[in-house]
Amino acid sequence: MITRVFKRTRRRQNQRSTPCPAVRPCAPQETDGRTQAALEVSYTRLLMTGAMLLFAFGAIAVRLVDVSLLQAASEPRVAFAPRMQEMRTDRADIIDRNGNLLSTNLSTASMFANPRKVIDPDDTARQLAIALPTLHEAEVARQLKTNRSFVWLQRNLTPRQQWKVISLGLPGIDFQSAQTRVYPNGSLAAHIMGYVDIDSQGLAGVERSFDSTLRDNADPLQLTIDIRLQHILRSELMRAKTEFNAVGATGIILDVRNGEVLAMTSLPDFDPNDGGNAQKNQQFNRATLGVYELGSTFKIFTAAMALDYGIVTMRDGYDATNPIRVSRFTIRDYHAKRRWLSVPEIFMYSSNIGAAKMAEEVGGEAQQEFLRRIGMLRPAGIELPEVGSPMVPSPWRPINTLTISYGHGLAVSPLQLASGVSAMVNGGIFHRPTLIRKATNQAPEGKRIISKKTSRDVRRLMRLVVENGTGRNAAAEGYLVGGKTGTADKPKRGGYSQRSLISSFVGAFPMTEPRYVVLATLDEPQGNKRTHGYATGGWVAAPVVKRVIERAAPLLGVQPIDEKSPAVKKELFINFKRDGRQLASF
Amino acid sequence: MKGFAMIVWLGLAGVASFALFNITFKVEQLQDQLNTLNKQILEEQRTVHVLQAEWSYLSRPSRIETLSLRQLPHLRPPTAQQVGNIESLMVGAAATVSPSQNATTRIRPATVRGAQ
Repeated sequence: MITRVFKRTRRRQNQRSTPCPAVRPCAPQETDGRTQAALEVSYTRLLMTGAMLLFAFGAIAVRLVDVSLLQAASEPRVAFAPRMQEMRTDRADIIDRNGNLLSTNLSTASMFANPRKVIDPDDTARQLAIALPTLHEAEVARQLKTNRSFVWLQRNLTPRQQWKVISLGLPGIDFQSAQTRVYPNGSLAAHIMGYVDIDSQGLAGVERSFDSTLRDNADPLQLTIDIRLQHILRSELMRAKTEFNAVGATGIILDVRNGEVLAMTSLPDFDPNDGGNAQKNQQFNRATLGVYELGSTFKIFTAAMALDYGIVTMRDGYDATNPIRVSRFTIRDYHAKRRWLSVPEIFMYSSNIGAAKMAEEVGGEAQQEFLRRIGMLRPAGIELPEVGSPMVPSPWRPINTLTISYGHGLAVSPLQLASGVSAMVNGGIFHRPTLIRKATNQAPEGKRIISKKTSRDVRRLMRLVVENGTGRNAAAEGYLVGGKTGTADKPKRGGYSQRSLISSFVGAFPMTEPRYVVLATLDEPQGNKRTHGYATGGWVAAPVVKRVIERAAPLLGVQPIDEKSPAVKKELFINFKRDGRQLASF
Repeated sequence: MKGFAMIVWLGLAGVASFALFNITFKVEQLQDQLNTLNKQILEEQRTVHVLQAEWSYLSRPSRIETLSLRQLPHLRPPTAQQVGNIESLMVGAAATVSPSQNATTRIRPATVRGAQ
């Protein structure tokens, strides 16, 4: 088309170059050769420019078709809007088994000052001290008079405090936003939660053992504990600790079906919101880090071991008339009957002599093997950094076999005892105690320790203790509690102190099909008028377990059982005859 | 004819430009709206987070217990005797009410007994 235009133009110019008949001659009248050549060059240049433009527009057209039609297929049909940012904290929350918040990060403002910009340091300090009464006016004034450009005045202000300061409109005062770890339940589960330092690094408890997980993950960490049960256990232990003037107390509620720790308390405790300032005694976790000789509660293991190995039956017994003397040691009975005792009687009256003779017959090696299988010879495998190693005698002498049968000479943590007992009553399966909630299909399978029959016998024996023996104070009506008391003298230099006791009761309920183990231990309790001066497990710890079960069972959905029903009687019946007398555990 | 075609093409180009610009502006407007909403959602999430912490603090078991003792002095934890299951009630009702009685029995409101 451009070529055509050029040709037309050339034609017109050629026409114009013809002689002009008019009065005035047209200039140029005739095109000479030079002009013609110049015109030719112009035409050629125009042609080239036009060709280039044509090429450029052609290229743009081709590209337009390419972009709009050919490449359109690769573009998304639906346009994506910029995605919403999820709120993220520096550290994931920790929740209990029911989703209640145990620990979270909150944004707080920290107030700082640039003293160089402060106009009147004294007036600023005075106004700040009025707005925030915790500030010392003189100290703030001193800081504001320094020649620095940055001084911290107060960290972690509440929004209300921050608003008060902002409304003062003081020059040189500013805020920096930071996140603070908050434990809304305070000291309720202090030893489980642990605490963090000012830089949000876990220093104890699950905060420490799951430090990196909590930092990297946005999802909350769900624990197995239930704050309602935790409160019940803690308040009852606190009550007993105060009543018996004990130096410490420990309690555990364990699910026997999977080893989940539903509640765990160690007293004295601390407030994790100010964990760094807690005293060492408060920070010490007696439930997992402390190891103690837990006394007669170990007779559960001795009886289970002897029954499972087939050394004794429920009808057998031992002569407990006289104390046992081994070198410089004498093994006596606290509730001495001075006669032959059957296995249920040894358990019921908590006979040290009977238990020692039972263990002696089983033998040291078999005893060690049994205790190893229920985790008594290695630290409890719980997800806490504060786990104590048991104090195991080395070498394991015959005297150790005798004393360990009734819980002396081997120091374990209360958690180890509770998980061992749960394996004795749940049908014989040992589950590693855990604090982390897992889906049912992800829960690790347990390990069989004793036969179902032995477990049933142990349940009957434990019920017998609460029904007729030393644990009567633990009988929570309707919940078929079974258990075993334990009172151990605390070791002192060169022997044992008979004035300092570790008094425990470990119970399970309901004994027809146990679901939960409850342990209560008091450290150095003092007997009082109500207990007739006694500070044994049956007097001080058993009532704690009773009250905990009475309050916790309805929350746990445990149906009360008619203790007098024939089915229950049949299940827990112990039939043995001695001198024509029959003893039953109902 | 040529002029008419030119007018048609120019008209079409004008309409297309208007439509394109209109859509562009609307999309930008919607995007702004979306960003504002996203910011609001984030702000709400932060508020909810703080409220959750506050709720957890206010509903801590020790406080609930104290409040319950103060405000509901007659309320006590249930005893084993107070707990039953619905099946046992149904069995009991079926055993005590004969079919003839059942047809004529009218449901009466339960009498309220004082706290024991």
